Amino acid sequence: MNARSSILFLALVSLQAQPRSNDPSAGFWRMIVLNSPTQVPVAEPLPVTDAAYQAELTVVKQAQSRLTSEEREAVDYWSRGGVLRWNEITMEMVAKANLPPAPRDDGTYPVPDANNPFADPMFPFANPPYAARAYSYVAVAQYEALKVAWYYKYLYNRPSPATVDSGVQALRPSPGLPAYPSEDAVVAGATAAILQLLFPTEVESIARRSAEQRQSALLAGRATPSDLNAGVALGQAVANLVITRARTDGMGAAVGNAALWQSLADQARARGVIPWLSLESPPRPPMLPLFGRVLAWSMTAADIAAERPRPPPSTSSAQMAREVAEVKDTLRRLTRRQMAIAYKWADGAGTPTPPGHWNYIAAPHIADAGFSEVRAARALALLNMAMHDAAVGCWDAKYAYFNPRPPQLDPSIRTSVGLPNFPAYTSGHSTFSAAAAEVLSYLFPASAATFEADREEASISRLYAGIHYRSDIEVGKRHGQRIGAYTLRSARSDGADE
Amino acid sequence: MKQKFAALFCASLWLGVAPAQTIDDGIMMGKRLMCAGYMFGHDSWGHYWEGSRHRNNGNIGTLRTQSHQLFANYGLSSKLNVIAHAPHVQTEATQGVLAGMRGWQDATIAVKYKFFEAPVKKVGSFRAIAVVSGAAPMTNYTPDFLPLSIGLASRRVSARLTGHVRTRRGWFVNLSPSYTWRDGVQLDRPFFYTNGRLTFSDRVEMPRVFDYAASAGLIRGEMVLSASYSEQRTLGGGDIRRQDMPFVSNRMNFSRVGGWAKIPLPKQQALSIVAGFSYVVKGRNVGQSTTVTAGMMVLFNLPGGKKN
Repeated sequence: MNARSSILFLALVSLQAQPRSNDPSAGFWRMIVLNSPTQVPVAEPLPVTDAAYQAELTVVKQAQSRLTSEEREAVDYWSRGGVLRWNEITMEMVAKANLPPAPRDDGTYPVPDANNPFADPMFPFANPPYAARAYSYVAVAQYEALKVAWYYKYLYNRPSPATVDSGVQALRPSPGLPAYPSEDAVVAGATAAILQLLFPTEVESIARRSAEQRQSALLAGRATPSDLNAGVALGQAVANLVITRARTDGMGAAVGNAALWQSLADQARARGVIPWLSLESPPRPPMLPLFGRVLAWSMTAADIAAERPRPPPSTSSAQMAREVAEVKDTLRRLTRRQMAIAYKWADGAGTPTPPGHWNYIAAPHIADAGFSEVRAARALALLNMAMHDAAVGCWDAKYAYFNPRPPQLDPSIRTSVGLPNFPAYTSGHSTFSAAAAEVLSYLFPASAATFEADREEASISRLYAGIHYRSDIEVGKRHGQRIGAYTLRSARSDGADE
Repeated sequence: MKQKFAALFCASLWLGVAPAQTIDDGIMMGKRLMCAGYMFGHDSWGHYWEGSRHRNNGNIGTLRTQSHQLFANYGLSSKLNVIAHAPHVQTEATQGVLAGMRGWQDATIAVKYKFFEAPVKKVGSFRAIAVVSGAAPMTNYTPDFLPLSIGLASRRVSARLTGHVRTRRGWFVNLSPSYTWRDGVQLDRPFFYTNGRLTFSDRVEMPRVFDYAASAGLIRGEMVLSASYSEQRTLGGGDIRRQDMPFVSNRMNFSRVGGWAKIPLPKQQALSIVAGFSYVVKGRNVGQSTTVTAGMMVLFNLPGGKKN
């Protein structure tokens, strides 16, 4: 780097927001999966006067002295914060994997196989429940690992390389934050481990990005090799504890089987209502009928059952007839502005899904708030835990009632977005959005009105699209708010607000 | 003679779903002659190419597109013509639940300039024509609901060069390559995934397009017969992924064969009936379209133009 470009670069880097607080007590915030930060031991680092540490500083300085433009770009890229960058990366992986299996020639559909992820269909099919769960595991793994990291940072108080040696350039300073273990490496290690479980076809790109994040921390003068090594080991160890939970949370059984799919229809008929039917050709099995039994974050199975909404209007009731008529009437009068709202929130195949959309909404608020890395992780963890619980609660209701979509009850209805292949009641968009808006309004109260407006728009978009009735939306929103409240009850006492 | 040329020009307008063939043929209108008309088009496909995979889709069935097009062509001089056309398009899928769409699509204006003409010994004549055309959506339709969107909603500019050889007996060959620059298109959503990337923007960059049309045919009196082969190559963009929907910036390529005939009314030479047919033989990220068109056009002098 020549002198001029390095001054310019430093000037650019120094414009980035500094955390308002390093949150030195974050090591004592309540854990979610772990019991205590000491569950994962981290060895005491060598003193900074040790010759071995001094040799590490030399490694950093040498690397900084021959920084390539590619490395500068990487430092700049990760300066937005690892938590936010990995959130974007996860959104991309979800969008890429969010494609339903193509039918076989015999009219049946193959099921993606985690043990054979590169086959057709690839594993996973990152549909909204899968995605909600994935975002939550990534965020929780990061949050748990960072709380442990903060515990050891303030236990050992090793200063940053640039503080120890003025010859090290602080390209991305975190004043006063102890460097050991490196929070960048903690995030890199924890995220890589959990993402490789969730998106096994992406193993190579995940490993490459994880290595790039760690190397960028070294090049930015934030961490020495020993800070990084301790961090990545800690991140991986925490992720492994989170993965143990993920492997037994019920996801593997959520697809169900032919007998289950048939019994759902039979039970609806026994209740005297018209059962949901797939309108795809050939008919596709319903999406993840047992996702309602997947382990939630802030709710027990009893909570999920207790919060299940009352039944939808019977398919033969006058109210249902009115609601079908409302859908049809809405489509007949649809304005271009309403269509735009339907497209904006379509969030169907090939997109990051509605939970991804809400991560996209949250990201600039987190970036602008000047949060420490651990507090940024908390924000995304709370948001995504609430949306995962919303997916569990909503799917529980959908398969408890197995209610038909509007085009099934009135075949003249034609939709403005792809018709989701699962029951109507209640609206997933409405449930996700209401839960997300509850959490974001707690985290960023000054912007509560915009979150509420987004919740309303996302919810009503499904009526404009012709794929939901009014009841699905209104009941879904209230359900989502109650679910969000569970997340907030524990959040308010987790220690972070003190 | 001038009017014959003009009528022929008129006949070759907009056959198939391709951009107006008037733009890529070798025929010029005489000074102050105006040709205007209406063309109906019906396009359908049951198979399409998902990337390079040829397939059908039970959730689409057959995709039908009907178009009603108004067009006009005016001779500022015998060397310089101005062309305009405006199609109204309606789509529907015969299976599945997706709503069809309808509306005015993109208006095109083209300036066509004959910059060279010379006799060819023992054969007939050769002419070279340059065309610059621009097109823009007439309405705020969405390109984000393919294959049911009525168009790609991209403003674009094309440069075209046409070479045309005609024998004294009326046989002709015509070769017309072109290059198209397309402006980005606006989506109603803040991010999109295509070509291996999630982009956080509502604006989609559109790759450039190369295409050419080769045609040969016979002009005998007022009767015209023509056969053509054309190819479009999109110079960038991603493939439709397995079981995904098409996307506006996909790499849409095709090879198409077609033919058309023009017949003037026996007792009213200024009125002509035209019919055309085309078929996509090979493609990538497009439907395997069969297209039929039929229309009527009228030729007249504007004040100051040469009387017949």
